[in-house]
Amino acid sequence: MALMRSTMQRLTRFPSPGRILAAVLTVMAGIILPSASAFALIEIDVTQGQIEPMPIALPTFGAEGDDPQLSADMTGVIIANLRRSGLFKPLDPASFIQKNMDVNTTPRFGDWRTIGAQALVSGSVTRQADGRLRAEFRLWDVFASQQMLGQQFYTTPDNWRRLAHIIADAIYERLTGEKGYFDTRVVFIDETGPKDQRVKRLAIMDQDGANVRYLTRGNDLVLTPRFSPTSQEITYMSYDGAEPSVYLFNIETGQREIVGNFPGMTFAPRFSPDGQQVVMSLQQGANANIFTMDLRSRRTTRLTNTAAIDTSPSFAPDGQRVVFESDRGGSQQLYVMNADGANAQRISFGPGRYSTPVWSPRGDLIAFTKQHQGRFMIGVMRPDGKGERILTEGYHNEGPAWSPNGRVLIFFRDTPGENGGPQVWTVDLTGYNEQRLVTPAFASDPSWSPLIN
Amino acid sequence: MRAGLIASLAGHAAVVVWGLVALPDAETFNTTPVESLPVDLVPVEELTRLRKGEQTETEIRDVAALQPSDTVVDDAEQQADTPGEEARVEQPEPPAPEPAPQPDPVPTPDAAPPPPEPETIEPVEPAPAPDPAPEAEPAPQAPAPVRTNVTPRSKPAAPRTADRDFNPNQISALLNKVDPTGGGVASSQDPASLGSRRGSEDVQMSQSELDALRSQVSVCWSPPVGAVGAETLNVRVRFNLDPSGAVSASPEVLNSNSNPAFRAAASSAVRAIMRCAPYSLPVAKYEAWQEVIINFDPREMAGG
Repeated sequence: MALMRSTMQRLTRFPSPGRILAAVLTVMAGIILPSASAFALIEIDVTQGQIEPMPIALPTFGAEGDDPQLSADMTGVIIANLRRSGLFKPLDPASFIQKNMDVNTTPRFGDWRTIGAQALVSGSVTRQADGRLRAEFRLWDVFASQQMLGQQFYTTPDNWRRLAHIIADAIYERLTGEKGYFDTRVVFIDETGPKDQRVKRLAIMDQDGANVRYLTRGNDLVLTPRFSPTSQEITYMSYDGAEPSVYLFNIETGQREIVGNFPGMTFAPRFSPDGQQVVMSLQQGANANIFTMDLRSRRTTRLTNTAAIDTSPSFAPDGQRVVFESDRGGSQQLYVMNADGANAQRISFGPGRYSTPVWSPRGDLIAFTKQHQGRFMIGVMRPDGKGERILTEGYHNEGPAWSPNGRVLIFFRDTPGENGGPQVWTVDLTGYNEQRLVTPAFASDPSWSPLIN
Repeated sequence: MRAGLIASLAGHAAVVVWGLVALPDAETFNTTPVESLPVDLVPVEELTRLRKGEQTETEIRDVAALQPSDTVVDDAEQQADTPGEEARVEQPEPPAPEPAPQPDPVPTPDAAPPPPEPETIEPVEPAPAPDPAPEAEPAPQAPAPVRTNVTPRSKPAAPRTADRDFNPNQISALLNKVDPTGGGVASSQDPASLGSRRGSEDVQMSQSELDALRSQVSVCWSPPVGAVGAETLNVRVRFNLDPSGAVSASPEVLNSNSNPAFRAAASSAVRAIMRCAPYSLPVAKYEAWQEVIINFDPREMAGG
């Protein structure tokens, strides 16, 4: 029947010679084929589904040793991670029918199906005789009644929180098909004190807001920290010295060095995807142009040379292209050029001003800040400028940065008023899952680390 | 004039030919499958039959044992009203109880069944006649089976007489009826509909039934749309259903893809099928839907 119908449709259109031939062939095929495909089988296409968080059950991990508090804490961290991602809906433990799950026995899947769980995690945490911590977990597919994943880890007890993040990453990756981002950190500017006299310190924390550490003492103004994609290094801009300059900071050693030796202010630094270069803006008179500096050879290369302000450069993950903002066309807009500075093309054409573009680590999107009619929006568009979507908007949103898997954006949002200040928020690509990341004080300019390996 | 006409015709013909050859193809209008609600079609007889049963329930309750025979006879009446048919249905019953208690009447009923249908009318006539009953006093069952033979014929009268002459032994006599008649009716109907030789071509799911299945599955499907290239993650799954609509074996994923997210997409598709089971599909068309292939295509969902 389907074949006949398609033939009819073709014939009712204007028949060109080629199409008549095609129609004849189709009719002949229609005569021959049905005999071959006539068996009892129906085939349908399903193109619409539900975008909803997956219900997952995470009973508290068993504590085979003597530390039930530790296993409860670890389970709590995993649950919080999965819930924050917006892709999972951890179920209320009070609804669980099967109690006292053991990691080494097969769960009663019927009991978990009844409460609507689609995935189930059982695990245990053991403090071993040698002082190490052993954690193991199994991820079960409740509807297929089989194990999807089973892993075991050993670590020092101090590392329990990281271990919980690693387990959450493994669950996330198996269920969504994407890399997780829980075992990561966020560097940001901690802001304390009154509005006209802020003390700004470079700080770092886990992606869930725990373990805040301060990296500078707040004597100098620091801005726009950016994580290296390959090492535990940060590049940022500081007003230390005569002119603001771009610095490199090694988190592990605490060592700090200035990047390049330019006559003039350097700002808006960012690492290249291989971590070997820093791309930044250099002010020259009333103009600003984009330069790269190789961190090994210390050689600098000029990428743009215009009578305009070119800034906020960001490399594509393949290192072949750079997106930046420029007012060369009269207003702030986004441009993409080759990594050697050639072939700059404007990509943003909507109303308003576009700034702070950041290329996704996945390469498929560019995030930006957009200013229009007094509103600040965070949005994404494809590298060719199409498919622009606004994810969030408000009084003042700025400075998006990507999670290492390119699924979540972290940015800061300023609140108006005397006691207002910037706070760090995250929003995922759907735009629906927007959450505040709780920091000890006001915080701005967040930047996400790569996955810690 | 004529030259002008020729020129005009030639010109128009040229324009038409040019249009046929050079005008771009009209884009095909792709419609997306429409969402639809699963609807169960219930034959009206099911409801009416239920109501009928409730009404008569109070009357016949005390002769509960009679009910099976009544319903069976009703069926028989609906199918064929000829007396011969009825009698044939009833005839097998008397032989079982009768031969034992009464030696006298036995010859007549025994002789009755084997001969063709016209003769079987005769045993019905003696039924109201009280003659055999007094003759064989030790076995009061004799009248009972005969009366039950009457019940189908004159419905209103029969249950009452049965009420009065209720006899516990009668129950067993009546219960025995059920087996042969019930089996007979069922077996006479089933083979006709089970004709599987032409079944596969004849039984086809209508478009709305397919839509119903589609919407049942899509409610449970939540694909991983955030992954890179999620729109290319088509998953083709084959599974078998049993007549109750439950998935009878674990679904089989037919295609594969090098995308690392494919495993997650495939298990989300399998999960959708398992989660939504059992499916409500027309039982009569089981042959058409015992094996199903579903293409899960996330292109539209990931496009946003």
